[in-house]
Amino acid sequence: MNFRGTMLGKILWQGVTSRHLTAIWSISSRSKHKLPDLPYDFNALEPYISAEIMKIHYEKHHATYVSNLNVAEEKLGEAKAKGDISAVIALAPALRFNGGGHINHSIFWQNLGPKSGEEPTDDLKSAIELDFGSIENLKIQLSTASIAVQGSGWGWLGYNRQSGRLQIAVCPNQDPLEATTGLVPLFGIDVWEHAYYLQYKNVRPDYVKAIWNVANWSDIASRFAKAKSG
Amino acid sequence: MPDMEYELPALPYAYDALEPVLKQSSLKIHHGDHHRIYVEKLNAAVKGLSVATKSIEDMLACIDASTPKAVRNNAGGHYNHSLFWLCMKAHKADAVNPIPEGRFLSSVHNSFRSEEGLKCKIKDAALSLCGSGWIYLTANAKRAEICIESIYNQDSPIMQDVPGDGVPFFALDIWEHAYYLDYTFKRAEYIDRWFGLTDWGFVSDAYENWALKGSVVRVSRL
Repeated sequence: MNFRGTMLGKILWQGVTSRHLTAIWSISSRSKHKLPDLPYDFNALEPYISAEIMKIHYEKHHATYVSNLNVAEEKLGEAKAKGDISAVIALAPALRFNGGGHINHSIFWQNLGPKSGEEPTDDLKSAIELDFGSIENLKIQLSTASIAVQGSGWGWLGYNRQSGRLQIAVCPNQDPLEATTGLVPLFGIDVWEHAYYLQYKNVRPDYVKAIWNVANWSDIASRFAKAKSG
Repeated sequence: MPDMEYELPALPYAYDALEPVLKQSSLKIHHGDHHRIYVEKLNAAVKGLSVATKSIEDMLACIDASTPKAVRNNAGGHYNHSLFWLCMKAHKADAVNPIPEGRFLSSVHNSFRSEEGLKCKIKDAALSLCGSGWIYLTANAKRAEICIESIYNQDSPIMQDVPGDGVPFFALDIWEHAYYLDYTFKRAEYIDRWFGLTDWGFVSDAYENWALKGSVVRVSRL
C-alpha cells in the first residue's frame, strides 16, 4: 500500500488538500476591484461639469468606494471562512454603500461624454417616444425626479425587463438601481452634492439641466439594446 | 390663531466670524441660500394647514409619517439649521475650546470618559453616515445619559416617526453642502476643525435647561 493509503497518509493528505483549497479560494476572493479608466480627460465635460469636480469625483469619491468595497469584501471572506453569519450580515450596509457607489459611478463615467450634439435615434428614440411621448418629456420627467431627491441619491432612466418599458426611478444614497428595483440602469444622474456643488452651489436644477448636454446617447442606447436582448 | 410666518434667524455672529474654519463665502451660501430656502418653502408648504399656527419647535414634535414631505423636509431643515448656528461661536485662532464645568461635562465623563472620547465618537458617527444627515447629541427628562444619534436627511429625533426618544441639544451638519466649499471630500478634516467652533457653553445650557427637562430646545425668537 502506498503512503496515501495509510491512515496517517489519509489524514495528512486531507489536511493539506482542505488548507490548499481554502488558500486558493481566499486568493481568488481577494482579487480586488479597481477604478475603471475614465474615457476622457477631466476637462472634457466643460463647461457643463468642471474639471475640478471631475478630478475630485473620480480620484477621491469613486476611488474611496472602490477601496472600501475591497476592504468590506476582504472582511466578508474572513467572516465566511469562520462561518460567522452575524459578521456576514453586519457587513451588508458597507457592501451596499461601497458596492453601490462603485457600480453607480462606473456607469456614470460611461453615461457621460464630451458634448456631441447627438440625440437618441432608432430603437431608443422609439422607446422613449412610446413611454414618455417625446425626448423632451423624458428630460423633463427625469430632471424633475432627480432634482426632487431628498438628501443624497441618484435619478435613473431604467429598463423594466418584465414590461419591456422604460421607467424613471430614484434611489437614495448609493443604493444600486438593479439590486434595489430590478430595473436595468440606462442613464443615471448623480445628485449627491459632491457631483455639482463646487460649480453650481445649491442650484441643483442648473446642474441637472446642464448634464443633458453631456449625456452619451451611444452608451445609453447600447445599454438599452443589451437590456432588451438579455 | 393666526398663521405663523417662519423667519430666517440672524446668525449670532458675522459671516466672517468662523474663519478660517468656515469661509465667509461658504457661510453666506449655507445660511443665506440653503437655510433661507428651507424657510421660504416651509412658509409655502404650510399655507392653509392646521400646523401653520405652531412654533417651529411644536411643529417638529407633530411631524409623523403622514406629514406631507414638503412640510417635513423644510420644517426639519429650518429647525436643524437654526440649532446648528447656535452650536457655533466666533473662532479664536489657536484657542483651546474646552467644555465648561457643569452637568454636561460630568455626563460626558460618565459616558465617554473624556471630552476627547466624546469628540472621537461624534467623529466616528459622522464618518459612518452614508449620505446626507446630521449628528445629534440627545438626552431627555428620564435619561440624563448622552446619546449620539445619526439621522439622515432633515429628520430629527423630535419627529414622532424617527427612532429615538431624546431631545437634541447639539446638531452637527454632515450634508456635503456644509463643508464641501471649504474641505471638498475631506469630511474628517471638517469635523476636526469644526470642534474649534463649537459653543460648548450653549450646548451645556441646552442639555441642562432644555433636554433634561424634556423640552425641545427653543431656536426661534418668536
